[in-house]
Amino acid sequence: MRVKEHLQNFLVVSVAYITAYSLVLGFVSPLQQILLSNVILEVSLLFLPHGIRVLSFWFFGWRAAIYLLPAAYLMMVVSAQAGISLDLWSPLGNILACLLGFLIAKAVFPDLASKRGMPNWKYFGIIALFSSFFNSVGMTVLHVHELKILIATGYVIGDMAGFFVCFLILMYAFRFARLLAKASDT
Amino acid sequence: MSSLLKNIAKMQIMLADMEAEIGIRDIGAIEKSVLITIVDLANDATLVHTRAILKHPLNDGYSRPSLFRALKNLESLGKISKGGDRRGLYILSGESA
Repeated sequence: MRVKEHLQNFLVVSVAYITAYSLVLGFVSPLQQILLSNVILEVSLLFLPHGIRVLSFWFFGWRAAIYLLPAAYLMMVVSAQAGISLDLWSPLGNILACLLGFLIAKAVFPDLASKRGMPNWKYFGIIALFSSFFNSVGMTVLHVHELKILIATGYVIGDMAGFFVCFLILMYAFRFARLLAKASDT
Repeated sequence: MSSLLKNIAKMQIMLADMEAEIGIRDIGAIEKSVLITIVDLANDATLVHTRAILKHPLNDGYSRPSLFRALKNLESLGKISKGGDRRGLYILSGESA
């Protein structure tokens, strides 16, 4: 793969990740603090970047870990400015957990990976679930220093809800793009 | 085609598949018009005849083949289904009913 292509992939992944994370920081987290103030700040119940991580791993394989890492560390710094201080290892832990989930999903469900030569959306859901499981265990240990089932479940709920909403946003974005294209044709 | 474009195309196909499976797939203007017509006509009778759909003022601007194609599409999307003993009768199905 050429350097230009790597750079292009890196930019697309970074922009998507930063946009999704900014939506969480600017909209989801404040709303969560008002409505569910008893949930700890480190747990987002609608973590949109999980959808971006899953898509990145599916499209770029293990390379996605490298593409995602700078944006993940940048958003850790931004989170700290917003009053949510994350562990220094958490961006790396998130990404490695997703990579592990992706590799296991690929090994366990090889048939689901492709339908008529095209990806099946349920397969993305399985990658999201596997990744979220490892992510929740890692993040709970990092932030609470012990494995608390309730907090770990919060991470899984946040990741899966974020994954699903992220896909819905993409779906409507493509639909909107199609509408715009149709309108400009007429 | 560049790999980025290929990935976007793959993602669009996957999302379209997801839209269809969770039942929020967008339907075209003619399909919408035909579905509204059937909802309108279904107020008077549960079974709606193709003739009534073709004659409905909402479908004035569409050709017969387009309307038949729209009926077929709506049927494959599970919005309507064939009903009754005679041919050409349709009934709203699933959440459209």
